[in-house]
Amino acid sequence: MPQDNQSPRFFVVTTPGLSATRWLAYVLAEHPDVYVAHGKHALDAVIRGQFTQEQQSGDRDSLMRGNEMQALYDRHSLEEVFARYQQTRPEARVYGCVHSYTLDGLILAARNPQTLSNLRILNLVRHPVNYIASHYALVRSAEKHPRLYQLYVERVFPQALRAYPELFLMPCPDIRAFLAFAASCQGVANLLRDLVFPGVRSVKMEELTTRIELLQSVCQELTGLTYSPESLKTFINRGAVNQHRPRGASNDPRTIFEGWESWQQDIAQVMIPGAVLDWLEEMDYDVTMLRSESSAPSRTNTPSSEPPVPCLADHLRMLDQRHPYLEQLTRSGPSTIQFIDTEHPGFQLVHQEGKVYALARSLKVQNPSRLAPEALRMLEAKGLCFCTDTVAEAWVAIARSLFPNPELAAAQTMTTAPHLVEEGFRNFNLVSYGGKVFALAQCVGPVDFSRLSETEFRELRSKEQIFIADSLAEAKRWIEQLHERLQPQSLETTYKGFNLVAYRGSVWAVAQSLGSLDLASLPAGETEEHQRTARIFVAPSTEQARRWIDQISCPPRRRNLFSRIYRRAVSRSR
Amino acid sequence: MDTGTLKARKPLVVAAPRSGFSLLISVIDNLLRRGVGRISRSPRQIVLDRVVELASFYITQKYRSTFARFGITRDLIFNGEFHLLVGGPKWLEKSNPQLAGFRKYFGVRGMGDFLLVTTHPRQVLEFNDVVHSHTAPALWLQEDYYASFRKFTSIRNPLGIINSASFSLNAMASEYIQNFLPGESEDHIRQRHGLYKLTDLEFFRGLVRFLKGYLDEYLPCQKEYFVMRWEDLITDPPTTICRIAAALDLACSEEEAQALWKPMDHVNLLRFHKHNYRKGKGIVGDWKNSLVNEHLDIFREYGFDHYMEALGYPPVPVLDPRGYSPYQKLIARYLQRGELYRQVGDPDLFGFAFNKSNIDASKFGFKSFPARKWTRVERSTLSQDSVVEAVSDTAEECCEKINQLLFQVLDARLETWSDARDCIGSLEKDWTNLMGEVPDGRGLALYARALESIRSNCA
Repeated sequence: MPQDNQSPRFFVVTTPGLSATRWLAYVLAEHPDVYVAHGKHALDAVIRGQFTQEQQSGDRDSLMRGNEMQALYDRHSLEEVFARYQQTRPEARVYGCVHSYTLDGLILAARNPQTLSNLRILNLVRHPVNYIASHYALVRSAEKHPRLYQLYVERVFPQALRAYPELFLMPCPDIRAFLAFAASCQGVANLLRDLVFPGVRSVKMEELTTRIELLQSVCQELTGLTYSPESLKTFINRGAVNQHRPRGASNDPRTIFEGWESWQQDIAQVMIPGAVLDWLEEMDYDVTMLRSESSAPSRTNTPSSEPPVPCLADHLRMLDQRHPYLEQLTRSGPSTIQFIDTEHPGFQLVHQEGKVYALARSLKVQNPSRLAPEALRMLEAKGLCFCTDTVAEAWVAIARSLFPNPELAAAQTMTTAPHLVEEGFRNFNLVSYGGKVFALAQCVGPVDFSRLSETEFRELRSKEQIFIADSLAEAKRWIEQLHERLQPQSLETTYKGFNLVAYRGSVWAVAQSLGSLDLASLPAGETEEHQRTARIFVAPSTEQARRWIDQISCPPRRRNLFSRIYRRAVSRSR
Repeated sequence: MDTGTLKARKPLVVAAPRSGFSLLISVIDNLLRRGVGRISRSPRQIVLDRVVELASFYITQKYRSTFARFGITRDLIFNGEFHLLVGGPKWLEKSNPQLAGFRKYFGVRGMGDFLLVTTHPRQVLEFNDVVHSHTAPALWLQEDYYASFRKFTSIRNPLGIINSASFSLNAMASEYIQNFLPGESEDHIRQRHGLYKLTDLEFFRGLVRFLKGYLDEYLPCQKEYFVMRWEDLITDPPTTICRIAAALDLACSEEEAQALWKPMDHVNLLRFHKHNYRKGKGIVGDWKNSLVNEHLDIFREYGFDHYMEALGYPPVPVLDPRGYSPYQKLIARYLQRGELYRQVGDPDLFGFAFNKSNIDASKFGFKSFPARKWTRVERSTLSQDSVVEAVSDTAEECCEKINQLLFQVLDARLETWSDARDCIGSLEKDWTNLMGEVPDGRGLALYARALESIRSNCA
């Protein structure tokens, strides 16, 4: 039972996903007093959902609707999200979500550490090889769902390239397969961001989905409510909602790993940090296949006569000499992940004299309470030790130290009130605040700059909806350049009834039958519909666009079979 | 201590490549150039300097026109560091230490490259205030001519030297990048070349064998040299620079040393070779991010535990593969499979960047041509031997003429500035003839300028 009948109880199950999260959400929602949100799905997707029905259509639903609430989680604080949960189901006594946050995302989303203190948090983990295999299948499937796939192309893969420029050196036989695989490994690499927060209980998905007593204790710990073993047993027997990988595929991590091509094995070994593997080993996972503990073979290595598969950098150049990904080629220093892995492998919590000390594991200090105030301040300035009143405050301090946004922090430290300088300059509002000029896209709506969280800022910036400039002129220059960049440019080519247009780094083939069309203002759903009906293609090159057009411009009897041919063309291009 | 003209002891630097050699030369050079601290140059040296400058222009033009006869103009890769007669790696010829050898790198896009060694009287080495060489530390000590020189060397952890060599780009590769790949990420080029060098263990052995050969010669005579440790210069520049200044009998405060260090701290120090310094590197112990245990085994195989101890470094360690960086993990994967990394990019650049100078190349099957009186061609991969032979002919012919003039200066009675003026004047006909062979009229003007500068010294 909840501890207090008046105040609701909150919980969050953090995870990078693909860990039977939909299943767990249904298990938790089985109790009538519990509200559960899942991932970035619609807020009522689980409470109004049907487990059995979803088992039959889960993958498709998750691909098509899995990101519907992305903006809510990106733009709003944890407190605001919980308020939305309560609005969605006012009669519930317990509110929570599964897979809507990763651990670092959760801590950065909270405005008040007290919110975190009041939360029940559980971190769900899965064997990394199985996770990668499932995630890879998911991303490949997402290629047919541009709105979801966009996330991997525009956000996840560039993050992976920034964190691991070594990816550019690796053989890339197929750019889409490479992207999907690297994006999947990035999910495991990012576990390092969770590891830095001590004191959070982690549970293995493989055990949670098979051991009734564990499942029962977890449900009770999160909700404070009792779940019947019979009901839980039924869920365990029914199995996962989403499969992602083909049914019948092996679940043995070693078999899966050995089935990967060597470039895939390389990516996995290179990207997964040693500290993550150590942590997973502590949880009794066998991750030896992901270790690079090599000994050179006795045979002399001889060059193959076959031409080598191009590395990612060369492959990208073949697509576009100025491919935006190539901007990540010049390394500016170790990424946060590499820094944490090599220099800063997490923190430990020490409770002394009523205080909570988060101590860097690299620091050899036993009794932080005996440190002189000056020494403590110096360690804090270096991000090595934080003295707080609560564990949650310690988490927030760690998060701000390791994942800061210097640009935003600098602007926020200057406390003048925001002032609207110009409204609607090419669909942007220009706001003077903290000695800087913020260019904010009007479509974002009103924003309280003083309370803009890291998460919100990063999201807005990744969508190019915000820019912080030193002057009004610079802000306007950026907006002008943005418009120029986003402006579709005709390639002055028509081909078999299609106009070929360069737009957002790709070649768009637009059926002339659609008449005059402004690609920049075309709603995402409409674009997808045109793609589905073969009136718009988005190809990596003019040649590819022409090839696809050729395939649908075959003799008339085959035109009726367009969908099948188009699908085949898409799959060939992978 | 003296901050004035340095008359007694000229500096000589002999050190292995990638050991802090260029940094040490720059430090000494800058110490000498402070205020009036420059080494005084004799009338003979001044005349030799002018002849070297004239000869440099002449021979560079002759090389270019020889390549042009074969239609090779835009595709010729000949970095400015080699245009100077005394440019490029240099050494005392073991068979005749009265002569100094100079190595020039020539590359042709799409055709390969070769090394050309030219020899000249060793006095031309003093064209540089700091005489320097990567080669034969013992030989310099045996030559009476260099007895009065203050001898310096730089050392660096051998693991760091080889690691640095694995990512280095030579002057020819630099020229190619500047001419043909200006927008290319330098870091990416180094990383992909480094992957090849570190996954080809035979190549790696070649680098280690070369260093072993150097150390075998160096260690018995290391006490004769003032030793600058690269790690000391990087971690404590003022103290290290002050020690070097003291060895030169020059006064230098820590503040002056700091000021002297600032402009050379982690920057490229060469004029034409713009890739001699690897941006973001020059970090003590950085080898721990790229070398893996298989490389360290090779060091042990060649007895480097002994060398490490003799040089004052800890023994070759064993790394914990669990702590490998992503780059090390990638190398380990290739080694595990017994596979070479072959995605090296532009094949011309890769060929030019091959470490031909600081590697034991005996196992790589390069073509070498018979030595001639003044020149020889080494390690050629150029597809057209006729081009190499023509350049070799040009070099031999030019060196014959140039060396005659240099010996003429060395044999002349040259004690006063007036002698110097007469000497350079006596060469006018020769230079007019030589510069007449090249179409670029700047050669004649250069002679006039040389004459004028010596006359102004007389005045």
